[in-house]
Formats: sequence, C-alpha cells, structure tokens
Amino acid sequence: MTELLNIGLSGLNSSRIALSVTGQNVTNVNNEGYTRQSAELVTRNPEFTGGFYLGTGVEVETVRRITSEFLIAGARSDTSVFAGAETFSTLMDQLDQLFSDANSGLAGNLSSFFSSLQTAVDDPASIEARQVFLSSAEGLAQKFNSLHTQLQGLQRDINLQVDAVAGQVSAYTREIAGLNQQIGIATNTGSNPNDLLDKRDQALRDLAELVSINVIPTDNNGVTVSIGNGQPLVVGSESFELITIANPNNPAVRDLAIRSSAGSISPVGSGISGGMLGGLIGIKEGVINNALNNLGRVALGVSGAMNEAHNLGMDLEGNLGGDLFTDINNATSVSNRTIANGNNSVPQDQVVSVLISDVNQLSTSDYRLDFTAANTYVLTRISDGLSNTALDPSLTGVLGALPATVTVDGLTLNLDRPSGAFSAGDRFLIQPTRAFADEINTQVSRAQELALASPVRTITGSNNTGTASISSGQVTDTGSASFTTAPGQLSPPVLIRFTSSTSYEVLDNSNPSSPTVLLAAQPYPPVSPNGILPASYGYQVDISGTPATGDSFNINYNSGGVLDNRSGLAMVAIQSTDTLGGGKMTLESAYGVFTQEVGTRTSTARNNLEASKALLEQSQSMLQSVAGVNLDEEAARLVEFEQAYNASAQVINVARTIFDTLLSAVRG
Amino acid sequence: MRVSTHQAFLTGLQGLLDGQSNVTRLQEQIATGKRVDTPGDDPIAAPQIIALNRQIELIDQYNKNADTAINRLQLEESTLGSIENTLQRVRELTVQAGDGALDLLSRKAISTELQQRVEELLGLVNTRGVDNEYLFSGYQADTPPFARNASGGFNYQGDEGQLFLPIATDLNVAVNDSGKALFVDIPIPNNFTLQAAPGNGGTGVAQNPVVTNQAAYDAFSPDTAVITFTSATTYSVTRASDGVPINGGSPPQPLTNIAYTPGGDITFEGMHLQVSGTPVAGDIFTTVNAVPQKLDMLAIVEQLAQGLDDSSASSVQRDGLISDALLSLDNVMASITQTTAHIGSRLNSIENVQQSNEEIKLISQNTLSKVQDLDYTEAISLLTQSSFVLQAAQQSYVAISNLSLFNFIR
Repeated sequence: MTELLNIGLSGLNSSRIALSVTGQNVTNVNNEGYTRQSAELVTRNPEFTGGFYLGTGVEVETVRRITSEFLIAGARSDTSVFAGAETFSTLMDQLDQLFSDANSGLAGNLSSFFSSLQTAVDDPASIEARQVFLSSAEGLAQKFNSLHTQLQGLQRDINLQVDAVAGQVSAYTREIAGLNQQIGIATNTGSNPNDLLDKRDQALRDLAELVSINVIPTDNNGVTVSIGNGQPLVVGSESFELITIANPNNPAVRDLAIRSSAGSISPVGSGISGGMLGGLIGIKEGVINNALNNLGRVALGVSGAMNEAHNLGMDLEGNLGGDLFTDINNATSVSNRTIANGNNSVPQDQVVSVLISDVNQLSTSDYRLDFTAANTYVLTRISDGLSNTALDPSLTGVLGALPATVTVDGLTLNLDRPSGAFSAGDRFLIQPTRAFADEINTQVSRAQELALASPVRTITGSNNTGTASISSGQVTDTGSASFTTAPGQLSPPVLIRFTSSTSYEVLDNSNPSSPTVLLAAQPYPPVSPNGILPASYGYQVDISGTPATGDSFNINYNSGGVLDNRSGLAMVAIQSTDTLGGGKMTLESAYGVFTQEVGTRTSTARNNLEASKALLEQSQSMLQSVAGVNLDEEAARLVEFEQAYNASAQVINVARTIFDTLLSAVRG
Repeated sequence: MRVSTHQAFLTGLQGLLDGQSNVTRLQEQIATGKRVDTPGDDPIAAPQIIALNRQIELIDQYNKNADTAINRLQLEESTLGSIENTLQRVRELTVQAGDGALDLLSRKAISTELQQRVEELLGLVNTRGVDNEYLFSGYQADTPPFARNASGGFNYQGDEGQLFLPIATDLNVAVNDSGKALFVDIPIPNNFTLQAAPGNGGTGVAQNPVVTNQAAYDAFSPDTAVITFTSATTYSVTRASDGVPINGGSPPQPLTNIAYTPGGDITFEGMHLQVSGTPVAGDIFTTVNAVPQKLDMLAIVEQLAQGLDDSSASSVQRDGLISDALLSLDNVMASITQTTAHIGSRLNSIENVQQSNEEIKLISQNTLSKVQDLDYTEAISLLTQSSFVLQAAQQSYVAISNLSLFNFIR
C-alpha cells in the first residue's frame, strides 16, 4: 500500500506543480517579456522488488522555459533596426517640414526678394518700391539666420538626447551585469532561473532599442554584450558606461565613448549603429551638418552675387553702391571657417585663413588639412574622401616657403606661421560654408542708398556728322582710380574724339575748353563689341557704326541719374543666372535641389520605417508563436492537469480503502 | 502556426491603427486638395512642382513689368502726339507768314502766337510722369530737360539714358526716350556767308546772303563762288573750284562782266546776295559755306518767331527764313515720327511677349495641377474603401476577442 500511496502522492504533487505552472502562464498572458513555462514530467526511479522493477510514480524534473534563442536574437536586432528607423524618420519629417513649408521655408523669401527687386527696378526713382525691396532683403537675411538657429537648436536637442540615451544605456548595462551575477549564482544551484532569464532578455531588448548590440552567451548562463565593433558593454558581472566626450578636432562636437569601471575611456568612433542612438547620430552627423552647409552655400551665393552687382552701382544720392549684404570674406567669417586641433604644436600661432574666391565652385563639404611634415600636407574633402591630386591636380601636397597659398573648390587657403613652418601632426578642420547663414545681414537700410543706377553715362557730341553711336557705359571696377580719387566724380571725365573714321584719341575733359590728350592715335576696331578704353579705367564703352572726323563722345559721372536701373537690371539677372554648383544651378534651384534631397531622404526614411516595422512585427510574431502564451492551450492544460489531479487523488483514496480493508481483515 | 493570445490581440490592434491612419491621411488630402504636401510625400514630383511654381511666379512678374512698360510708353506716345499737334499749328502759322501780302502788324501777330506755341512746347517737353519724374531727361529725371538760357536759346539739361524693363528672360525693352534723341540735334538747312578778300582796295561790301532755292544750293555746295570785279562797274562770278563762269540772274546767262548796280540783287545757283558801296577793279568777294548746323526744336520755333518780328529784314530774307523754317520743322517732325514708330513697335513686341507668356503660364498651371492636385474621384473612392476596411477590422476584432476556451469551461 505504501507504494500505491506514494505513487498517488507523487501524481498529486506533479499535477499540483503542473497546475501552478499553467496558472503562472495564464496570469502572465499579457506580459510581453514572458516566455511560457512548462513542467517537465519524468517517471521516478523504479524500485527493484521481488525480481522486477516497479515504477514509483511521476515527478517534475524541471520547469522548462519554452523559447528559441535564435528567434529572441532576431527580434532583438529587428528592434534595433526599427527603433533607429523610427527615430531617423521622425526627425527627417521635422526637417522636411522645416525646409519645404511655404511659411517657414526659404523658398518664399527668395521668391519675394526677387519679385520686389523687379518692382524697384521697374521704377528706380520710387522710394516706396526701394523700401519694400530692402525690407524683403532684410527678411531674407533673417530667414537664413533663423533657419540656421533652428538647425543648431535641433542639433543641441539631439546632443541632449544622446546624453540622456547614453545614460539610459549605462543604466541598462548595470542592470544586465547585475542580472548576470544573480543568474550565475542561481544556475550554480542546478536549475535555470527562468524569471531572471526573462528579466535579462527584457533588459537586453530595451538596450537593443537604444543601440544595436551583439549578445554572446557565456558559461553559467551568462552573456557578454558588445556594440558594433566589438567594444564591450557588459562582461560577466562587470558593466561599462556610455558617456560623451569632446571631439579633439572640433571641441564643439561631442562624441560617444565607453568608460570602464577602472576609469579608462575609449572613443566609440563609428561603432554605433541602430537603435535610437544610431538614428540620432545619423541625423546629427549625416543630415544636419549637411543642411547647415547647404544653407550656408545659398547664403554665400546670395551675398556674393548681389554684392558684386551692387558694388558696381550708384545710389540715389550719387554715391557708389558698396555692399548690399555682409561681405563673404569679412574677418569674422574667415576666422570662423578654420578650427585648429587642440593638440597642434606650440606655439599655436598657425594661420590657415580660408577666403572664398569663387562662390560658383563651392562644394557643401567640410575639409581636413593635415600636415605630415613641415612642408607636406594632405588636404581631404570629407564628403567623398578625395585628397590632394585626386581632389584637384594643383594640390601637390608640397608647400613652398610661407606665406603660401592653396586653392581648391573656389576656396583660397592662405597659410602662414609667424614662428616658422608648420609641424608634422598639425591638423585643421575647415568648414567653408557652415556658418554663413548665421552671419548674413543686410548692410543697406535707407532706400536712397540702394544702388540701382550705374555711375557712368555717355553723351553723343551735338555736332557729330557720322553714323556712330555709343553704348550707355558699363562699369567693371569701382575700385579703380577713376572712381576712388574723388567721390561723386569721374577722375577724369573723358572725351573720345575721332581724328578720322578709323582712329580716335582719348582726352581728359576736366576742363572742357581745353581737353588734354591721354591716349593718342587709337585704332578704331571695325567690329563691335570693341574695347574702346583701357581696362585700368574701371569702365568700358562700345562704339559702333561709322564715325566722321571730328565726331566726339563724352563719358561723365552719372550725377542726378535717378531714372537709371542698369545696375538693378544686373541684379535682376542674377535670379536666372547659374551662380552655384559649378555653373549648373541658380540660387533658387540650388535651394530647391537641397530641399528635394531632404524630401527624398525623408521618403526613403519613411519606406525604411515601414519595412523595418513589418520585419519587426514578423519576428515578434514568430517569437511569440514559440514563447507566447495561448489561453486556449492553457485552458486545455488546466482541464488535463485537473483531471490528472483528481485521478491521483482517487488513487490515494483506493490506497486508503485497501489499507482499511487490510486493517479490518486483521482485526477480525 | 501557433499563435499566442497576446500576438493575436496585437495583430488585431495593429490592423485597427493602420486602418485609422490610412483614413486620416486620405481625409487630410481631401481637405487640402493636394496630393503632395511636402517633398517627402513624393520626391519625384516635388522638384517638378517647385520648378513649375517658380516659372509661374516669374511669368507673373514679367507681366507686371510689361504692364508698367505699356503705361510708360503710352504716356510718352500721347505726349508726343500733343507735341505733334502743336507743331502742326506752328507749320500752319509759318505757311501763313509766307504770304507776301501780309503787313507788319499781321506778321507781329503771327510772331506773338508763335512765341506762345514755344511756351506750350516747352511745357510739353518738360512733362512729368506718374512719380513726378521728367519724361524726357534720360537718367536725370529730377532735372527738367529744357531750360531757357539767359543769353538766348535753350539748354538741354538731361542725358541720353534710357530705362529698360525686363519683360522676359534676356529680353529688356526701353520704356522711354531721351529729349536729346527726340528734340535736340535737329539738322537745319545749310546756309552760306560772304567774305571780302583782304586785299580789296574799294569800299565795296557784300551782304544779305540768303538761300532762295535750297535744292540748288545743296547741289552747288561744297563748291563756293568767287565774285570778281573786272572793273569798277562790272563783275564776274566764277566757281572757286575751276574758275568756270556760273550762270545766274534772270533770264539766266553766264555771269561774266555783268553791269554792277550798288545794292542790286545778284542771284545764282539758288543763292542771293547784294553788293553795295564802291569796289575797284580786282576786288574779290567769296561765298563761304557754313558748317552744317543743328538746333533744338524750341530754338527753331523761337528763332522763326524772332525773325518774323524783325522789321528790318528784306522780303527776300523773310522768304529765306520761312523756307528754312519749313524745312527745319519737317526735320523735327521726322525725328518725332521715327521715335513714335519705335514706340509702336516696342508696344507691339511687348504685347506679343505678354501673349506668349500667358500661354506658357497656362501650360505650366495645367501641368502643376496634374502633378500636385488631388484626383478627387480617386481619393474619395479610396476613402470609402479604407473606411470599409477599418470597419471590417473593428468588427473582426470584437468577434475574435470573444473566442476563448475559458468561456466554455464553467
């Protein structure tokens, strides 16, 4: 009977345990991190009695965790990809909105800038039209400034988020290390600590949402966690922290690094990918910097082209135009373009001054200038990695004596060092277009100071008998002596007199009653356009037709020329001129190309998000199909084990009955 | 495949969320009427949309410029029309004044009216435009183009500049003409003067040179005539170039050894002069062709008025003055007509450009609408379909959530 009793008891026990396990599964049905458990029943060791083996019942060997490590790893890596795609896509949507929105984008400002310019050019004497244009110009400059500020603000926010996420990563690594220890201890007692394992898997999954990780199982149910390039985050019960440090090349930039418990810091470099961190860094380094550079290049285009035309013009008060926008090579801008590495050789008096000599040739990339020896350098364009002769045949990599000049992509680098030559290891980061959208401002505020006219005009001699006519005059350089010697005057006013129909002389007409000869016996070129005056004068005229002997033409300063829009017409023409991208894009289309790039990346990001979401759903569903709890299944199990329990109880009942029968038989 | 309960609910939930998001997106498109809101919605259509919008804006701007140009040109045209009318009146008066039967008083009356017409013309050339700028001063629109010179005549104070407006890419049209091109530098008929040779012994004086036949004189010059007194009472007229005697007088005869009458008319080759006083044999007088002259329109009319006022002029001189004035007026009218023709052709080309701009704009707008705008039929049918799908997802969620074995184990 005792065997029967024990057998029955064992059945009762096992069923009870199985029921508990089922109950555990049922109550955890909605716990996402829970893997279903199942009680493993095995027969107890048989007894050898009387020549045969008699079974001794059933027992629970272990409570098994039903899951698949392969599917867990798959779901984890898909989580990283999805979290990264989601973060990236959300931020790209923000940027897409910022740049293309009719109200907040730049395109509207550019358009109204040019259309108000056309209105002022239509009526150059009108003060109101000039004022409207100047307001529009100021609005444009302010829009550049505000877009730049918004982008920088976004960058700052992302940096803060990176800091926060790095802190969270550190918290998770600590948790995982702790769980590793606990699981190790528990495993030593002989069985799998199922709930601790679930907890660790959940922590790993949360960590994977933040950054892509590699998880390698070690002995004693431990795991080693590392990021992309093998740098460890968790080794056994030791955890590493993720922190941010200043970038040595550019102190304004913060990089990620791993700090061990001993305190040693190693930069992560490009090892971060996936997860929120991957998305944030992708935006910060790949998209926002590019956006700032693009914006800066358009601002440089506006300022450069407009200033060039405005400088050749004359305003309502008879003064030369000067700059309309901030000069692209002003001292502050130039000094902002170069960032010297903090570890450069002392004394740190190296001068790398970056001037923009041709806006049309500018790229949107940053550059690196590294010195490998005193007069050998490597100049690299960061966007495509080309350097020295691969970048431009003129970059030999060898410098002559200082001061020296290097030119590339529309930039002129003036290199000098008062204390001698450069040293090997000197490094410089060059950001030619990064900051200008913040630096651009209007320089003209009074309507009368807008230079729409040209400072020279021509007069045909009253007594001319030939058929020659003269163009209205074109200014090429207001820095020449003709204009600078005495403001408001042409120095000197010029008379062109034909000594025959094929030759002329150029005279100084300061005293009209006695002009003095400046250039005698100039041949009159028969085909127009002809360079009548020397280039040094700073202005040029065209004469066409057949002059007679004695025909004369005057060239004077255009005092009182208020209904003159020649310089304004040149500024209007900028709208349809290809001023950027190596002569391939107008200002507006350069901005358009950039917003379209943003749009394409946004659309790609959205597609990636959809795809990664679908993959994640699929891997999650596959994992759940193995490890998830199915209530119907557990309900069936409940019925099964309850019946088994009842049956075992009945066995005990029978054992008791036979015992009673035996007792009553013995008692007599 | 085994499905966990949690997963089953998740799938159902996801279906609901996706359905809702589809419906919302379609709703937004229908409300804005736009299929493409930001470049991210359709990166392929986005640059097309940007380019088309830019083209339409540019064309609108060019048309605005063209309207401004038309206004300015029409104002100039009408001002020139008024000037032409005044000049017509001046011409009538000039012809009237040529009537030999007029007496001094009548001529003075004509002269007075001519002076008034000069003032009228001065006012017209100094016309101001919409912004109070002078129309005919070239660039210097704050300075009146014509002003009286203290010592007589008029000064042109402007320059030769023209204002150009862009009406299409690389097409600028001039919207004004300077007073210099229109009214200054008008050629007036050629004249001659007389010169006595320095070695003349007598007291003869040659005077009153008048061109009586401009065509004949223009044909004769640049040659000059030499009047040689062969004796104290006879003279001959020869060509300076080859010494050949010239025919003259009436009836025409070779002017060789003609009897000299002091103060008498000597006429030949459309020229008329008088010699008075007592010349001696060998005295020589020559004609000198004046340098071709140019005057401005106002000076021409004023000089005519002053000439008519001069009571000391002979009738021959008056006739010369009138015929010169008529020829000069013709030159003025020709200059104005030439510019009016230019204005006409400019207006014509502006109209053509405007028309072609409008056509391009229409095409661009159509294309833009096709690319950017929502096809309402398609969108509404999609919305209906998506709503149906959402409804089905909702109903199936409820149906499936009721299925559980626990419902039957009681």
